Amino acid sequence: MDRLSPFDRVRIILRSLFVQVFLNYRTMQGPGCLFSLWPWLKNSEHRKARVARASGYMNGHPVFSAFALGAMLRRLGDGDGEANPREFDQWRESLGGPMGVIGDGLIWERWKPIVFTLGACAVLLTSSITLWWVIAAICLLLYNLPLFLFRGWALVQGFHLGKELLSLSGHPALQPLRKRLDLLAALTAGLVLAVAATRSALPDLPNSVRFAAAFLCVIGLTKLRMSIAISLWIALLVSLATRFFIF
Amino acid sequence: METFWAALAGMIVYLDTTAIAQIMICQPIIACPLWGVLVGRPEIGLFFGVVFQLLWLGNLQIGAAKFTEGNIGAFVATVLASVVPPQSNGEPAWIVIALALAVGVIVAQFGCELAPLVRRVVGRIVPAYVAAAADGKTKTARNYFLLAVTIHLLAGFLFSLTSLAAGHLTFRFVLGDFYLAGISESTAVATQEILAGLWPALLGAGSAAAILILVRRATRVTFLVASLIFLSAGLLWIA
Repeated sequence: MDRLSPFDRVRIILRSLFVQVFLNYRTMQGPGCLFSLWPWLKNSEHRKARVARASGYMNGHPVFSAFALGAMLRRLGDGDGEANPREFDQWRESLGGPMGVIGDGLIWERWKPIVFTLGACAVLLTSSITLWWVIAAICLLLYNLPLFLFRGWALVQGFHLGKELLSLSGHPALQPLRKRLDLLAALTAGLVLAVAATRSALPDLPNSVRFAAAFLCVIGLTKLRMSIAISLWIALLVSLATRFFIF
Repeated sequence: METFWAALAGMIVYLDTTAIAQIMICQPIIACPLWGVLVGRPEIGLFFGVVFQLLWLGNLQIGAAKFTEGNIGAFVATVLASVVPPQSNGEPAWIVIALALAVGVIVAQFGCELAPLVRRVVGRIVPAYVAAAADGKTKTARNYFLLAVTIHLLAGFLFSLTSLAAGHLTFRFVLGDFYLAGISESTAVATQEILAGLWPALLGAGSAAAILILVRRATRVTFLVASLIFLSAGLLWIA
């Protein structure tokens, strides 16, 4: 197999949407990878060995798994899995760290919070169910479109690089991308604070005190390693109690 | 019957959260207003959509870590609050909102154990799935795949159904047997004044939770400057 046709790419991407169905504590996404690559493995004369290689331990961000799927498909097609199974297993297990750390850091910790906080801000500003349809559609498109395009690119890159896939973890675009997303996240945080305060509290003094009390409680208590749920309860109690002590 | 449909919708929320696709229709800002529209209570959906979206923003489904089922919690709160008819002024009573919020947060916390349980159950069928694939038994392998999907479906459905049932019992216990027909005027009035402060408190807590995930050490100054600019703009807008 020298290249991935557009049909192959779409098929792997669609199957990779189920990569977490078999998620378990022993092999994590491994069986999901097997499911994603099954159409390309089932008719192989080395099927048994290739199934064993594809289904072993693998864990990463579901979107970034596209890298691993492309690289695994290439290496399995080249016969690396049968030639040196131990090396293949070690290589596959080593993919999990970078695929997880980079993927989680970019998508779970940055992209998703930014997109859906902006969505929440837009809903707060408009408070209209008619506009909510537009906001929801934009949020879903903004979140998913880049990720689906990324999956396609990652699959091809993984297939192209094969064993050398890990060299991508030091890609020069990663650091600037993180910095830009951090900047956007900080601006979004400023926006959400301002929108939440103006829509619920300002300029009314009692409500502003309630807002500030809850805000400071959650910030302070989570710094003390309390969960958001516990912090929320305490913040709400403190905030509502201001009525008796201040006003 | 509405509880059954709500549990089905909760199942979809659960599936999209971790198991399949993760296209984020499970997010509170999407799922809660959508349910609100379907049952004719969009204001409830928008309220819980915004509040829970901000509160659970830092709830990350990373690797093998346990995580709060915040999406199902938000959805359950929306369903419960929307079954109680609004007051005569057309708005929901704050006691209903507070109670639904409490149930939603508790459901989310209990949900921490759901994903680990499902992973352990799915882990039991994985060896059989891999063996079937190794033997080239495509049909058997497909059946194991469908079995794994069914486990996820059942987990999402049963968890949502149980949470909704527990929520209804809580509502009945606190608001009385006839809460589905609306709560009494005296209950609403007695709790209205103190609980009306929930809205600023919830948004204060929500924006704090959002800031905790969005702001890093290196971007604190940017955040402070942005906050001041946006707050000034907001005050000008109000004025």
